[in-house]
Amino acid sequence: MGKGPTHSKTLKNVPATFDKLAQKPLDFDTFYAQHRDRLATAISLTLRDTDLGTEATDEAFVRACQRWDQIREYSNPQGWVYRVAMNWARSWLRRRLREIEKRPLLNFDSFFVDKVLDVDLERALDTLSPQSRAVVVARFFMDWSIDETADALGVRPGTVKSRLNRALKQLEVRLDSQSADKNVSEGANHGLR
Amino acid sequence: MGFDDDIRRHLQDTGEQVELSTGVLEEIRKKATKRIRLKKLFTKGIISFAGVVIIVSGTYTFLSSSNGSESFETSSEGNLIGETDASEIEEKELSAADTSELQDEVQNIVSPKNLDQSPPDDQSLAEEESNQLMSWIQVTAPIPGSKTKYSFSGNNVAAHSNDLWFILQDSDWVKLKFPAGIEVVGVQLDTTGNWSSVLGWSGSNLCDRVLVIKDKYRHPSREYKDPLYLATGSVRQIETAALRVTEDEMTISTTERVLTDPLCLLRSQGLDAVEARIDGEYLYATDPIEGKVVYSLKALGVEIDEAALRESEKMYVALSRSTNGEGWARQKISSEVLLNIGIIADKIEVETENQIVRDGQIFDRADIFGSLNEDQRNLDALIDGDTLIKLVVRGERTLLDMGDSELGLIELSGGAAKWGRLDWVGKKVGVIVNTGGSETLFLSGK
Repeated sequence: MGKGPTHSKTLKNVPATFDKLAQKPLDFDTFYAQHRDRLATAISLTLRDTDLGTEATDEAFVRACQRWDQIREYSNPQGWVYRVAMNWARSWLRRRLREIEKRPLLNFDSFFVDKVLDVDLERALDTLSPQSRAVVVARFFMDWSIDETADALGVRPGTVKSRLNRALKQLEVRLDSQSADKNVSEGANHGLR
Repeated sequence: MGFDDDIRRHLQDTGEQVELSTGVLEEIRKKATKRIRLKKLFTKGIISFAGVVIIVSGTYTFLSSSNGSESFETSSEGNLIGETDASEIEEKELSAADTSELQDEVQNIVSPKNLDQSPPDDQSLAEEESNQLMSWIQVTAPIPGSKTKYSFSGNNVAAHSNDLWFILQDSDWVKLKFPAGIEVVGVQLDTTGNWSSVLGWSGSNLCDRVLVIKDKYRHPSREYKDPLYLATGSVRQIETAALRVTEDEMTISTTERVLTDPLCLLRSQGLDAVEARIDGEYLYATDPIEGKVVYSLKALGVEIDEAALRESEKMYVALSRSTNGEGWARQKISSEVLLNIGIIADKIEVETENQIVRDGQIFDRADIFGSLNEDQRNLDALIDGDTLIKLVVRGERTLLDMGDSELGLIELSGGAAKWGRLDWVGKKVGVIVNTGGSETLFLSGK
């Protein structure tokens, strides 16, 4: 059993400090130029919708610009933008879902399925729950550490670890079963010949 | 090359294929500036308006009090309060807080009530000052005045009140929407503020409704029915429930009663009644055609032992099954509280009298709580990294033991809690205290 908690460690909302702090841009223009496209891509990959991902990211940057003096002091402003963009997109999706319930002929556009290079992996990623995909994208596309990912997603590092672990296992299982299906299908084709 | 690298490369490749529209910094700046200007204008306008109202109402108050007229004074004051509240709401909307402006069904909930942090008598003054650093707020129920039950799940807290479910987001209760045709009794939340699975009753007929789990993220969504066999005419009443569903398994924990419902008993025999009650070995009913009728329970096929079920004691049940398996494993628990359910190494674990379960960890209660005196009870503990907070009852007081000599004990409520629960709510700590029926939610302050 560990020692008792200290006030700052347990109950104060103290932002984690990251090594990347030293590289934190000082002005909004630089921050925007450096991070906008990468964040928009990450959000698009997580949401599987480029238009929504871009719009959500731009909305988050507007809000960051409104209070940049405050945001720039955060340990991970990118994480803040990511979280705000995801929240905005989720709200948009909820509204959209309600519209679809009212008007069932409306439908979501499909993601860039025809553009992906590894179709099997893309399909496997598609089966992940939104929160698992968010962790995978944050870790492997944004290359954020566990702590940075936790900060951006608003969860604890332990949750990121367990979610990532589960997601990777699920992806492996899915890929194995896809490859087994392929082998069976190829075997059947050979048999036909 | 490892699997991680495969995923990394795939995401980078896919990312390169994403055709983003060009970001225009000027547009971003323009929008931000416009919003800031609007906000300033609005705030300025409201302040000016409030100022005018205050001056006018003050003048009239003064004049009317000189004239002995009370009715106008009340009216002016009411208007002023109304306008001030409205300005606060508008201000909140314009400030574009991270998420709250986007929630559609919201209600302000947090009452800024700092709790009594009275330290034990023998604590030094320094410790007393240190205690002042720790503030807790009592969260107002989503429907104030209604009996509300709270539950932690997925780093969130849900409230169940008047058959409605809410989730706490920032400082607002947001109503949760569930699929039609299910009366939800337990919910598993994800960290995005949505439900991921629900436990509830399917079917509107009390006599033959079934308990089902709906899992949102399955493709397609699947339902699982709890196939509990009940004696003829018996129904289940679930008081509280928790559930965990993973890829591989699901567990339900409930506090419930099984009792004989006289109307259901009659219906199972093909008999109809508008009203019925059981007294001793007889069932007294009002038949829609024949009027008052008395049936012998034995004649209805109900043994005396089964009839005793109508006053069944409350049961604490844990029910588990593999999502791919056939049956459920049902376990009646002797614990007196709703059990916590966590995920440890991808497996669902249920709390017992000997162990505390958190997501990711199991702890022996004996290691956390020391030996107890007669008037002492330990309710729950939050253990995470260096964090150790215990929720305890000492005599007639419910206290948070911060496990730290500097912070000592914090009193949460004057009475002794029957049970309580501690968990994370985002980056804050949440505490549910049940003092026999009613529940209260507390959140750690900044």
